[in-house]
Amino acid sequence: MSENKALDGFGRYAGPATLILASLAGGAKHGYALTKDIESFAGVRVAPGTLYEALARLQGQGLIEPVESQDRRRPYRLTAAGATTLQAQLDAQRRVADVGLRRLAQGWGPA
Amino acid sequence: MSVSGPRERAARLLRCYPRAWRARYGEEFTELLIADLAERPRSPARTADVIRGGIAARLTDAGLCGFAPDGTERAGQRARAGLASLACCAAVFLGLGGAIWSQLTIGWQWSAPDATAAVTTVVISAAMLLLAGLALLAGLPVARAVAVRIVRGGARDLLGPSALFLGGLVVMVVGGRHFGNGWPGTGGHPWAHPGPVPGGVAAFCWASTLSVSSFWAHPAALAAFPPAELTWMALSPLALACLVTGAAAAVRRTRALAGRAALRGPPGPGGLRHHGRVPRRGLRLDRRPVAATGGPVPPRRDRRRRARRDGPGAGRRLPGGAGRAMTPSRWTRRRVLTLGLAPAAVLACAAAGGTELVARGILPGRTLLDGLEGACSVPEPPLAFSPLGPSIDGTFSSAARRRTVGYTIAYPPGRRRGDELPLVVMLHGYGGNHADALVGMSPAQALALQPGGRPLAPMALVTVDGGGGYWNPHPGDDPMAMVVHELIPRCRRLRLGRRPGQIAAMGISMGGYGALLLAEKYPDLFGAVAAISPAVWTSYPQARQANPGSYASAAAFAVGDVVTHAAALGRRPVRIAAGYGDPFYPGVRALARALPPGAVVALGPGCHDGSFFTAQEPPSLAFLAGCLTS
Repeated sequence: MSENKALDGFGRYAGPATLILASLAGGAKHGYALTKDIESFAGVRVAPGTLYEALARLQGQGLIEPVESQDRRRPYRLTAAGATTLQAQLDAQRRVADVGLRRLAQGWGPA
Repeated sequence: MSVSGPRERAARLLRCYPRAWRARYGEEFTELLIADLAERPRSPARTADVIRGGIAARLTDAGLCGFAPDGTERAGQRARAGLASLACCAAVFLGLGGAIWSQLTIGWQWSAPDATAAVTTVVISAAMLLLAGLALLAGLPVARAVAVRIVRGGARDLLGPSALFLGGLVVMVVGGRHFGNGWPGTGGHPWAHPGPVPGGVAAFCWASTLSVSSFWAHPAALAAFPPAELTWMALSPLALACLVTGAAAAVRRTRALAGRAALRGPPGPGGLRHHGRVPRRGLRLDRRPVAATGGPVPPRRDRRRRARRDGPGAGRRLPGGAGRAMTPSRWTRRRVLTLGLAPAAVLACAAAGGTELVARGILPGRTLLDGLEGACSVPEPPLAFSPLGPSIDGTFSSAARRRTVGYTIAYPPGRRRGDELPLVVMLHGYGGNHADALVGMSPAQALALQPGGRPLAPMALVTVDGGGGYWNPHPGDDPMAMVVHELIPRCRRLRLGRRPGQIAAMGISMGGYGALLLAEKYPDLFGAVAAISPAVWTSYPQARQANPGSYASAAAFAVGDVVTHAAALGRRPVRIAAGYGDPFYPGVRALARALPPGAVVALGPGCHDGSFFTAQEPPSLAFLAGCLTS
């Protein structure tokens, strides 16, 4: 789990951070596009203040970077470090999901 | 439909964030907000989220938490911001510590502290001294840098703050010396007066704390202050504001702090100030300040040389100005502070002034104010009475007062006319008469009181009409002579107070003063005296202004001054009581100081009102009963 350290300092921002990284894995996006994309695949609407707090932190960690653009809406893209972190985070989540699903399928039922 | 467009609303929301953050993310964040607003015009959750984000960003900006605004690890800037926050905290602590310290030293003057309080006061004084010394040491480099810049010329923007600072300082020091470093109205500072505290040091404290300690806790004390003291007291907070503003502006405009700090951040006049676009590079601890062009500023000596070469105008704009020039917004923090602080200061002055006028009785509402402050709240004493004794009402024609006066003689429970008893002469207050000399109880009830659950020792009590002349002799009306030469002989014929020292004087307000006056003028006649909230004025003009009928002349005031003649009481038992909120409090305090040792002085919360009088009647009567029977 050591490769997962990058998101450790995020605390309650780890959720938005994972969502943002996952969204940017599909290509560079600006703030509003990120919100819409996350809403479409996760069903969660990240509020503007929370979004930019997470963006600032992710950028500070070097997990994402701004793309030079003439547009007032600055897009961000995933860095290599960001891709690694996302991979580790999602692997961990998948392990949890796998275990949970398997156990549900095996044993759980109204006793 | 909203009144303002989405762009305006987005701009309003953006204002939650600090300037550095806005410079970095403002544009894109605005675009996001506009898109979001178009989709969901009303969303309190979004507003709350933005406000929360703004607060977090501001805390980050102040070096108190989280990541640096643009994400790069700019340790120096964050450390400097943290240091500035720390300095603000220390300054606040210094201010509060000064307030506590002043309270302790004032308390010391009122009554000698016990060992714990004395140790506390000494420790706090030492801490204050240490902090003040540190502050002085920290301020010296700034002062030196400012002085050097001004002497070198070309630092015109430092002249204003320096003048403001010096002006405030002069007012504070001169004001401090005016008081001789003593607290106004409290008779001087126990250490500062003869001690080594230089003039003006205490001034710094009274300026910021007197409003708390003296104005609020004892508003009535101000009534006795000379106008010069009041003027200095009103000026001092203004002077303090000038001093602080001037110092802060000077610090901002020099780079003295930043230049001398071990950590050198990107350009900025120090403190919490950040700039529009900070250069995107990691901070090196030894980096020289960066000028507007982005190039490094030459070392100090070169700059000085260049300034000399280019003439005074060239160096006028300090490097700190560079960031300002690049700032897109006209609303610099200094402007906001100035525009925000000025009305706040005016409001504070108006509020303080209004409160003072009310507290001094110039504007109506004094009672309400005292009530709000709790200054008049006296717990109601549990009054228990034995079955009442008889009382006799009557009148007699008084030669001394040239009129018929009414009187009441009350007997204690179980006694009746003809019994031999000690006598209390109870004098009524202004506007009263023999029937209502006691507040909240009748004369017979007063003698049937059971203070502390035990009945009073038996004694009689007489009340009489004394008019509104404060019991001292007036032309054609001498209530004092009436009491001494007419009333008391009458009572003695009824076997009351016949033996020497078996008569006591008691009174409330005007009557309290009268009781003291009688006891001082006829010490052989009165064996004890108890005065509740006595009407003791500190000067004849004050007495005449408050009540023109109080004294016939200044000479009469001098003769009837119970403070200057207090020694006449000798070793007679005396009890005086007054509330801190009593307008006569200063006079009572002066009297308390003049009384012979052994006098009972009951000063505490309360005003010049019925609740205080009623609360003090049982202990006063118990005091007299103890004196008359022992």
